[in-house]
Amino acid sequence: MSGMARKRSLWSILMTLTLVALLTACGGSSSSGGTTSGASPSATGPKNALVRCPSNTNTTAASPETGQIHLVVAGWASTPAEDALVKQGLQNFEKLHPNVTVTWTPIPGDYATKMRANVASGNVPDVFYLQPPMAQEYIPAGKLLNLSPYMARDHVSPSTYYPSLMQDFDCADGTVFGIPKDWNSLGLFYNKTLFQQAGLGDPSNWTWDDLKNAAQKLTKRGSSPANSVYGIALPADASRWGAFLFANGGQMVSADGKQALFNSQAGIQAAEFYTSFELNHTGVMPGDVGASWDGDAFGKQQVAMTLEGGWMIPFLAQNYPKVQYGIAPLPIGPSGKRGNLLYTNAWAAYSGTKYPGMAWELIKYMTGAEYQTQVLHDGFALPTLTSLANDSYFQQNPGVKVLQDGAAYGQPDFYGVADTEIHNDVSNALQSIMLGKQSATDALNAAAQKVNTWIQQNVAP
Amino acid sequence: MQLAASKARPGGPPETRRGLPFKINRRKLTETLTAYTFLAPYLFVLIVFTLIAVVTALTLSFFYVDFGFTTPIFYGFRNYLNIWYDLTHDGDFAVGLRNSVEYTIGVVTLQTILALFLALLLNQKVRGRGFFRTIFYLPAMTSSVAISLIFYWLYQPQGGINYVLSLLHIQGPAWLENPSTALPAIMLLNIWTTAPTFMLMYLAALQDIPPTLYEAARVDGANSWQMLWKITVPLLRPTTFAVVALGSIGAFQIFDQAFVMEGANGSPLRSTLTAAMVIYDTAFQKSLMGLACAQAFVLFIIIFAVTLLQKRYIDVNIQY
Repeated sequence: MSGMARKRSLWSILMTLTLVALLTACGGSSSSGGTTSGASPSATGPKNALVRCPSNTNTTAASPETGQIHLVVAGWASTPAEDALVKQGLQNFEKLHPNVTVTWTPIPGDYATKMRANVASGNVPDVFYLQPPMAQEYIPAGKLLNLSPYMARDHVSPSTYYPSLMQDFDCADGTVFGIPKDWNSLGLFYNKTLFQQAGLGDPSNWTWDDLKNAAQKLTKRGSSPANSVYGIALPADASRWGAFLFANGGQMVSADGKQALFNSQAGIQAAEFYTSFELNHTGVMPGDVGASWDGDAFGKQQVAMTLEGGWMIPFLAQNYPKVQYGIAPLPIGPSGKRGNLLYTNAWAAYSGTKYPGMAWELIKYMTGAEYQTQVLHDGFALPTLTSLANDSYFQQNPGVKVLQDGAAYGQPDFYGVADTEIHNDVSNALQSIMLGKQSATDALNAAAQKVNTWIQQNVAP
Repeated sequence: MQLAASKARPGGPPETRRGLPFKINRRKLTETLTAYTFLAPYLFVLIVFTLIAVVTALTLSFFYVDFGFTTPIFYGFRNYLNIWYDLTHDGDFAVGLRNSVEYTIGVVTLQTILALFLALLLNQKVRGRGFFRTIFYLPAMTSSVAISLIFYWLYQPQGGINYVLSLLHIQGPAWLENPSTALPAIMLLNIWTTAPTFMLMYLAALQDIPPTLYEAARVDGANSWQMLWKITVPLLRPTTFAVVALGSIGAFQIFDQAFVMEGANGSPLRSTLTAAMVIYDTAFQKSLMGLACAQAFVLFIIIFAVTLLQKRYIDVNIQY
């Protein structure tokens, strides 16, 4: 009975709340020794004003523990291929450290929620994936192992990783709590066949105007959206629009994340440009053509262009192998800049782990050159080490190189304390503009007001 | 037969209430102990998972809580004031509540009528009655997430529903993309899945109505329409109360169907954002457990009030 099911879902939430509450009371705090976070300066990454440093964290590096060690490692597996890749990496690590057994426990479904329950109960895996929104809670609360002393001891310089990727996992003074495990950025995916038919050339150096004109040329409207071809698919999604905002010199939030800035003149202009495709019928939201997401619409050849990341490559190879496509950098904005969004997660260790030395060894291996090369060659995601930027793989896959170059001019798609609220409200504003309900100015002003109120009311004192 | 408003329902025999507390009958004590022993497993579950949960949630609604990270901070009524601000400024919870109310009115009205209609049909002595009863009940036995996914495909612009419409030369809308059709689309799905359960309740109640009443009416010259309105519908009132109350309680908490079909954001334009989805978002996406508990309590009070009103105006006590 679905009435019951609905009832149950609310109850389960309440029950979870209670259980978690009870467990919080039981699970004691487990911070390790040391008093200040005075890591040696050579091992600090980019300073991240969005995240306060913990008052109490480890300042020394433990040596790898000896004797039989059992490490629990948690993360998620978006595809069986990803699962296999991680397992392979962990097995190789076990071979290098015969006294260690690693248990990989991927968490299906809502990873951050499950981990929250784990933290509340004090039953946290030794090493785990860390998402940027998790970092801003885990780091100030002292839940993560301070990696800076380890990096200093083992001469792993934070600068060997892309700073734009490191940033989300550092705190205000640059102390490192997580190392990016892999990443992705956006590229302009274009359909070569449709481009040829419309007489369009290589879009690598396009400006916004070029994109607009091309979308017009590529659009061939039929009697209904279903039998039309559109220039571009752009969803009403802050996680795409942000690239246009940045290209236009705009900002999403203030440096401390406590003030919305996306309704600036640059933001309004970027929103007008982004939504103009939908309003002029040279672009569509994926749902309009019966696609579940824009990658799907692109695969069905109902749109000639879309903005997506590296995950499109295996998706298209698997579902739409016949589509001839290329990947170009995002077009240049009116201010002469390109913008891009970076999506990344990190490896981090629990501050209460029994084996901090070995946990670090594991992180070092999974973010090291050997495993990062595997990640790249598997075509799964991009490597976080700058030293791999000239890997031979990029010569064979120029499209992937385009995505990798995004690290140079992109910004993380993460905006601090109000991250969820910003993503929701900006996406709603874009949708409202696309449906013709509000002007860009009104929609963005309303969204900014909502975000700012939310911050005032809900950010902990 | 006696029809009386529910508030006039007589309580237990008064003598037992007036009995002195210390004058305990031994046999009665044994009986009571036995009863509680049998009840114990259920009571345990009820106390741990419901009573403690409710009390904890109420307590937490006065705190700023992000489980496991910082110590809870006492907030007084600040969470409730924030909800008030939200309600008066078209915030997410206001929109969610409004959608839930709209959804409840639509779903409960239509599903009650449909359930009664189906029950009346299947109460006839027709061939294959058992077969139809089973078929009609099937949607209620299927997982709501599975059904939501099936309807998700049916509602696509080139999905099943628009295909049927195109045969009639009607260009169907993009059901789930359009702010004015998205919520009704989810309502239809839910009416289809919950009506059969309530049909069963009506069927059971229909069996209880003594045939002699209909015979007497027929002798008096009543036609079927009159018998339906003067006998069947009034005598079904207690069942109607149950159907409406259970339906409303369920509908107010709509979560999974909207969540599966439209995502956590309640797209398009918050038109499918429901109160339960806002609570989920507050608790698990934004880590504001205290505020989420306060929101849950506001929702609880609304549901409770609505149920009381329904009891007052629909329920009657019927004794044959």
